[in-house]
Amino acid sequence: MSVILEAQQLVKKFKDFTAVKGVSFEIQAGEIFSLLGPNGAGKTTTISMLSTLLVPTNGDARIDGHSVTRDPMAVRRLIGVVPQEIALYDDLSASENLLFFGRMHGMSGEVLKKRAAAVLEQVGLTDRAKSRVKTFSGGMKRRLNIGVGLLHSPRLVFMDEPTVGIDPQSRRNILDAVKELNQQGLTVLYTTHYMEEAQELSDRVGIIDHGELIACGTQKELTQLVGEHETLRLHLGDDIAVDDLARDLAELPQVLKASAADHEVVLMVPEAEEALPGVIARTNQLDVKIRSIDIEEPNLEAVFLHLTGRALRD
Amino acid sequence: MKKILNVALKDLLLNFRDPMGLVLMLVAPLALTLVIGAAFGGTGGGSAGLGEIPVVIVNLDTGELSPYMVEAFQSEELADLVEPVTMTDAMAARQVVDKDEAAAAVIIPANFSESILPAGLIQGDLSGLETPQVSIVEIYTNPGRPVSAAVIRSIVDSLLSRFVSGRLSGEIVINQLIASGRLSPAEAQTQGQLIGQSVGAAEPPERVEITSKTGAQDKSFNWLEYSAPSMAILFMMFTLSAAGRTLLIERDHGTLPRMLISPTRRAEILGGKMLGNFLTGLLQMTILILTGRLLFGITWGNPLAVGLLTIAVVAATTGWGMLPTAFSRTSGQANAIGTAIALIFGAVAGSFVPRAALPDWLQKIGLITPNAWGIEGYYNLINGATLADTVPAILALLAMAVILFGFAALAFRRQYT
Repeated sequence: MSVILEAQQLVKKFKDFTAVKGVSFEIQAGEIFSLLGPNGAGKTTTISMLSTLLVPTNGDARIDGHSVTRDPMAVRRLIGVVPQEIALYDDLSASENLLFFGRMHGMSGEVLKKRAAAVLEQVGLTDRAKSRVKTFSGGMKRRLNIGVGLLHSPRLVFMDEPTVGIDPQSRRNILDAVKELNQQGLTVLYTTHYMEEAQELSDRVGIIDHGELIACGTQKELTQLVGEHETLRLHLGDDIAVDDLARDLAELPQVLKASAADHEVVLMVPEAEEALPGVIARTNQLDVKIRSIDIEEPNLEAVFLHLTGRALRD
Repeated sequence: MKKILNVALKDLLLNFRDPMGLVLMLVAPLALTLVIGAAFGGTGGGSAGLGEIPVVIVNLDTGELSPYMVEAFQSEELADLVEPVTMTDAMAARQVVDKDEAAAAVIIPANFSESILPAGLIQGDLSGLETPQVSIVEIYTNPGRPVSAAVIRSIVDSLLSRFVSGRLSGEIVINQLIASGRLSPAEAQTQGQLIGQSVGAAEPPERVEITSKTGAQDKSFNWLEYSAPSMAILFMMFTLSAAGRTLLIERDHGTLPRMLISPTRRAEILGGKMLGNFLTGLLQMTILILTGRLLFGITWGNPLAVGLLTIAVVAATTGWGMLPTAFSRTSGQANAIGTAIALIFGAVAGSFVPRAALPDWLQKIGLITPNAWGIEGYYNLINGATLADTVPAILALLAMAVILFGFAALAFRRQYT
């Protein structure tokens, strides 16, 4: 496989705030590469630089040999972008949206019409081609949003959290569509803060936090960073002060790291079976009622916890 | 160029698919033109109400009755309603109306008294009533003040009915008979009733007719012709300010970034947005001009000059519409600035009151607005100006457009680089 994207020390500053701090990674042609990180980690800013929307403060990236800073027009011809927000015209129909953005990519005539029809078929909106987007459900808008990004048959597509705010069924459809597109040869850069999505889709994952790429590799390579450690996920009631509990449980000898998330405390432990009695005894002492406990094999969440001391959903 | 057109036509389509936008673009200016036209009676030198209607009375009659007619107009009873001026020359009176200095002229003919009270009646001879003369009272009306003219007409109707019904004429004859000693006060009631019945027996048309003539159209000022272009330009300013704002709205909704990451130059996108706004304004003005012709009967004048002036006005207004967006961070800011500019321009450029009524210094400030040049240009064309007369306004507007586009382009370049 050849390298289709190579980011070199990308930096983006907004006045005094540095959103991206020297990010470097490569993407091989034909793979799905995920940038995994919490909200505000710098994923969207990185994609904005790679897609030539923002000019890097420092560093550069090359896409199929073309520099995003020196030859942005050539880069734009190679890439497709599925933005996080629904970037469509509500008062245009599905078909009119596709035709408009197709023309912006230099397409025209019968080629454009056929391609728009094919994309509508692909995203399951053929029967709503003439309906205005404002009449669509959230899931339908998401699908069309993806369709516009794929219309001009790009070699590399950037998908920026395309499943945010949609129902599980639509989310499932989108993940299946991404895998199918990849099987057809499309290279995908996928950003998400959902560990499950990155695990399901990715050939390789880059973990990004506070504007820095803190780890990058295959899932196997990343989980090896954690060692053989397991994760205990305690699901708690609404009234529990999870931050206080995490700090308390971190003091237990069997717990390596602890972090709090939404009604959860995530513990990294060397051996779940050995740690569990001590954790339960301590929660009983504190009169904390645990709703359920998951024991997880080493995963990307554990990697993130291991590397940052925080849960992904912090 | 294809991409510029693609963006422009998309914007044009979106602007005309917005129902609220259409109300602002087309319904509001037409409705306001209609209201202003109705309120000010189409033409009129600024007198809108019914108080103190200026009327010219010309009394060509030397008989006994006509002075009562003139006095009636000058009476305390009508003092709040009419402002009568007496003249002796009927032609001069008609000219006063033509100049829009009066709502009507009432011209009492020379045989007015004779037609109601024939000679000899005062001597007690009633035979003259059998073969009466016909007199014609002329009411020469100002077409620009139809309501005021109708009031004058009804006053004249009412006065004549009092004369012809015999009550007033009977009183006059009896008073004169008593004064001359030919009738004793004791006989006055019986004789007065007899004369009154005799005079009143004849139908009014047989002795006094009223003819109503409409004066020449006053070309010095016409509210309808003035408000049609002024409202059209004012609301185009609102439209194009809103259209300019779509750049910020598209930025926030993600469609602008989506365009920016297509292989399209930023200048093409900005050019497309400007062209789309220009086409929106052009279509709006074209519809309003055609509707003004069809609904209000406005003859806009030399078509080539009207076309060129429209292009120039729309170009300059497009420039002003883009400017708030170019210097605003949010669409809310652009909305506030754009609305303020549209209203201030409307005020200083004469959209609400004729610019000539404003102080000199304000009239000069008004020249930075497309409204002032446009309103004056259209109004002059409506009143017979030629293309050559309109060229200065067209050039001023095009220069304004070039300068504003330049400013907007620089600001956008700074914002989106």
